[in-house]
Amino acid sequence: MIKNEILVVEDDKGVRSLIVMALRGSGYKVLEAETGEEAYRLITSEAIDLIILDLGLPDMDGIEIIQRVREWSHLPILVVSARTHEQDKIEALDLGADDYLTKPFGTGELLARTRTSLRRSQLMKGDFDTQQSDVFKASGLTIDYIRHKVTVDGKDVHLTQKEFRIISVLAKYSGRVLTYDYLMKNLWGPEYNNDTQTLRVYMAHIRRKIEKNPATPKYIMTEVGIGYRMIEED
Amino acid sequence: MLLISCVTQGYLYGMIASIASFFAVNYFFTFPYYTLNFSLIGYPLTFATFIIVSIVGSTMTNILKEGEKIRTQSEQDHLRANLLRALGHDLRTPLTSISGSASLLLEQGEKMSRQDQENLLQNVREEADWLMRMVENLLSITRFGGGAENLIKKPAAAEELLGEAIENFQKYYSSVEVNAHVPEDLLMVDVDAMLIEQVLFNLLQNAVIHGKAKRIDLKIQLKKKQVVFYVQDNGIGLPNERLEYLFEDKLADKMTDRKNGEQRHNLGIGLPICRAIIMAHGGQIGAYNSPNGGAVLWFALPAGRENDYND
Repeated sequence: MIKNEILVVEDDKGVRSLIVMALRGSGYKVLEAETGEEAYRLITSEAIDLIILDLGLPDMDGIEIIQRVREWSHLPILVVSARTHEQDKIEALDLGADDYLTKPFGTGELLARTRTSLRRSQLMKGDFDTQQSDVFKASGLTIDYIRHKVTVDGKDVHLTQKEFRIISVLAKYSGRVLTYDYLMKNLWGPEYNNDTQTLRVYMAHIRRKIEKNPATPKYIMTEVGIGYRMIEED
Repeated sequence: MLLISCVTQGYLYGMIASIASFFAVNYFFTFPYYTLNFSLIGYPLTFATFIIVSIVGSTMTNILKEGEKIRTQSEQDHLRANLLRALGHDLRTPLTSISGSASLLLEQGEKMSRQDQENLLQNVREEADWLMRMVENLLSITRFGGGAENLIKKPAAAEELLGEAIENFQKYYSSVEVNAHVPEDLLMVDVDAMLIEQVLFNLLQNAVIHGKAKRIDLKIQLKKKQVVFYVQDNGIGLPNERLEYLFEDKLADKMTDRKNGEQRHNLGIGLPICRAIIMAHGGQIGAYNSPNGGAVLWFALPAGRENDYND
């Protein structure tokens, strides 16, 4: 079994060693970098499968690394940042980062997001035969992409066209956060009217249809200020 | 003229208003009506009186306003000083505990049973989590500097704020049952989401630590153009003598807490911070004891604009 190679870019030694230990303990190969330059050098010289990147690096903006890497690669990038810097997270996600972790994060969350990001990139690298199936299943929710059918615990749920569109794209990227921006572009194209209000209304309607309690959703989680995330597929 | 003095800065507007009303009175109300006539006897005296009244009036309101400014400033200084004091106390204790636990593990770890080791580490984690929450509270304040002007508000769905707060809360208090009730309609508010999350977390935590609640019910409701959030618990309720000062930072209360042997995780800065945040959002906050036992803490925020969409 080929072990995945992860690059951890974090200037704080304490935080870095915690991440590295947790990842190695889970069987991953891990490379480390303290600065942006060091990281970029490793990215271009080693076969990295995932980058865990702190946005507060000393020599260059983590954002810059994302931009440079995205110029030539779809390599998954997981950004790490402080709780109050949501603007940084949104920017990173919109520029191509796949997901984020907020400090302080537990080992469980780190490993879960790592797994999801790697899994997704594996799917993309694979043959077209092993592409996503026609039906999405997660904890009682099923979405049939072809027949445009949604059921929750066996019961049919009627969604409008837009609502189905939203739930489909979230399912396609299940486990990963999608920003408001991304979702709106998906619904209305790049010239959308920069208004998250409508999206939220759709989401409220969707939740009232598929969630037992829309206030404590099981399927579609809110990352307030950033976007939405669908639970991972079974 | 008094009205104008109150709402304007400085002396000038008050004076102008006074003079203007003087002329107005002359023009409209004195014989011959609707003409300006200054030849009546006693007029200079009237004029002088008007001027004196306006000077005195302007001066008084200005002094009052300065006084108010000083008072608000001193209130702010007072709050800051109290916060720092609370900070000092509240940071030191968990840090002592963490340091002590770590030292013990290093020195005697091998002799200890697995269970004991785990207990110590568990303790370290809990204290660290507590510290983290405390720091978040403090950072909340820096996020808007205590003043409404610096607040960056964005539209958010009230039910989503609830959902995220509950999810976060259950990570730390998994044994507490939390229920949420939201209406059919989507309620929107314009807020700094992170700060409101902080408020909700503080209120939930309060219900558990001080109210000793095992179950908390959260509700949101639209009431007269305000979205009201209710945090109701099934705990021991709030002490009546504290109700009035619940959201104020009374150092005296903290001292009593310590004497009663109550945990040092006191009411301290949590509730006053909630109040500061809610007030900065133009809302209100309050608390009362429920007739069924337990406490209800609530806060209201101005409702966001109506939602309307076509599919």
